[in-house]
Amino acid sequence: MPDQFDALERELIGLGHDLVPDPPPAGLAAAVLDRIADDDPLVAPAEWRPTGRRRSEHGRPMRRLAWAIAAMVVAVVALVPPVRAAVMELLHIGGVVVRVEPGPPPLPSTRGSGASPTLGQGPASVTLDEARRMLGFDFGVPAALGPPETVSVSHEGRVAQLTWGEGTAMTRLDVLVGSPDWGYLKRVWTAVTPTGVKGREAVWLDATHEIEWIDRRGVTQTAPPRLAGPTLIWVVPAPDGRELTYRLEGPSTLAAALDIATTVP
Amino acid sequence: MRAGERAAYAELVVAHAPLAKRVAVLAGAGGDADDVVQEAFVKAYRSLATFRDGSGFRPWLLRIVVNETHNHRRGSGRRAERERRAGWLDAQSLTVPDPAEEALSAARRRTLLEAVSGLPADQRDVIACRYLLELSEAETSQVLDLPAGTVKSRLHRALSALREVMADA
Repeated sequence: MPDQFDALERELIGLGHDLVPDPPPAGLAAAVLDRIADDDPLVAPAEWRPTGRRRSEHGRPMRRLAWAIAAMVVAVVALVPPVRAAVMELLHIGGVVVRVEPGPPPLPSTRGSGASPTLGQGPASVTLDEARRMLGFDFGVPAALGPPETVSVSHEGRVAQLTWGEGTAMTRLDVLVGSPDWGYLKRVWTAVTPTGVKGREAVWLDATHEIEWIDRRGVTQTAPPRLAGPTLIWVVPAPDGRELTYRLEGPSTLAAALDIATTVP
Repeated sequence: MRAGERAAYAELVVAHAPLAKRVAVLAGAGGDADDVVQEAFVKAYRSLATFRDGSGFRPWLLRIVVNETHNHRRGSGRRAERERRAGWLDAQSLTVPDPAEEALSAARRRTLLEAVSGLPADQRDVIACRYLLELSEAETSQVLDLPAGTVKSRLHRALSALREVMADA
C-alpha cells in the first residue's frame, strides 16, 4: 500500500518539509552552463580538472584512473545525443509527472481542444464541501473565478475537478493529492517553463500536450490519454505533510494563469 | 555543445536543483550544499553518455549528488574527520524551524529528527530518501545503490525502531 502512509510515515514526510534548505542560488543554471560551455562530451574528461576543491593526495591516482576509464567509455558511446536522452526523462511536480518527448505520438481517438472535463471514468457530480471531504483536504478555489459551475471527484476520490464556462471558453482546475505512485502523466514536446505561484514551485506548459491518469504501481491507465491545452501546475504543502497539486487549464498565457492561481487562498 | 542542448540542460538544472540541494544537505554537505550541487550538475553533464535512457534521470542525478557530497566531505581537510562521522542527517547541522507550528508539534518533530539521526547509518539513509525526500522505493534503491529488497527490509526495521521511540514521545 505505498500510497497509504500511516501516521508515523506522514510525520516523517512532514519533517522532511521542515528540513527544506534555502532554494539553490538563482544563478546556478548559468554557472553550470558556463562551466560546461566549451565541453564537447566527447573530450570533456580529458580536460576535466578539480575546480578549487582540495583533495587528499592519495585520492588522486584513483581519480585519474577513473577519469581515464570514463574518457574511454564516453568516446565509445558518444553517438548518443546525451542531453536529449536525459531531457526526455521525467520532471516531477507534485502529483504530476511531465515527460518531454521529441514529438507528438500517434494521436489517440479522444482528441479534445482546450479544457475538457471528460477525463477519467464518469466522475460523480458533488458539492464543493463534499469534494473537500472526499479528498480529505480543505483545498482553496481561486477567488478570481468565483464559485465553480461544476464540481466532481474522480480517480477513487483522489482528484477534484472544478470547471467554469463551457466549450473552448472552459477553465478547469484539478486538485489532487500528490503521490509518487499515481497521478497525471503529461507528455510534452515543447519547453517546460519553471515558474512560481506565491513562492511555491510551479511549471507552465505553454502548448497543447497529452495527458493521462496513471497508476505507477502497475495498472497504467484508467482512460485513454487526451490532449490538453496550456496548463499551469503548482504545488501547495498541506498541513499533514502531504502536498496538494493544482492543475489549471484554460488561460492561454502564463500571465493570465498566474492571475487566477494567485487568488487561491 | 549546441545551443539547443544548453537550453535543455538549463531546464534540467532548474527543475532538479531544489531536490538535489535537499539531498546534498541531508547527505551531509551542510553549508557547502550549493557548491556540491553545482559540481554534481557539471559532473552529470560530463557523464551524460553513461546515462542509460530509460533508467531514470532523477535517481541517476541524485546518486551523483550523493557521491559528490561524500567526495566533498572526504576532501575538505580538517573538518573531514568530524563530518565523516556525521554523514547523512547530522542532527547538529539540521534544526527544525518552529515559527507557525504549535510548540508541542515542533517539540515532537525535534524528537523525531533526533530519533532518525540516532538510527544506524544504513537505516537512516533509507528513511531520509524514502520519507524526508519522498523518493519511491525504486528511486531510493538507485540513489543509495542498494538492492530493492534491502531497501524494503531496512525501511521496515527503521520504522519499527522509530515507532518504539516515538510511542513514548
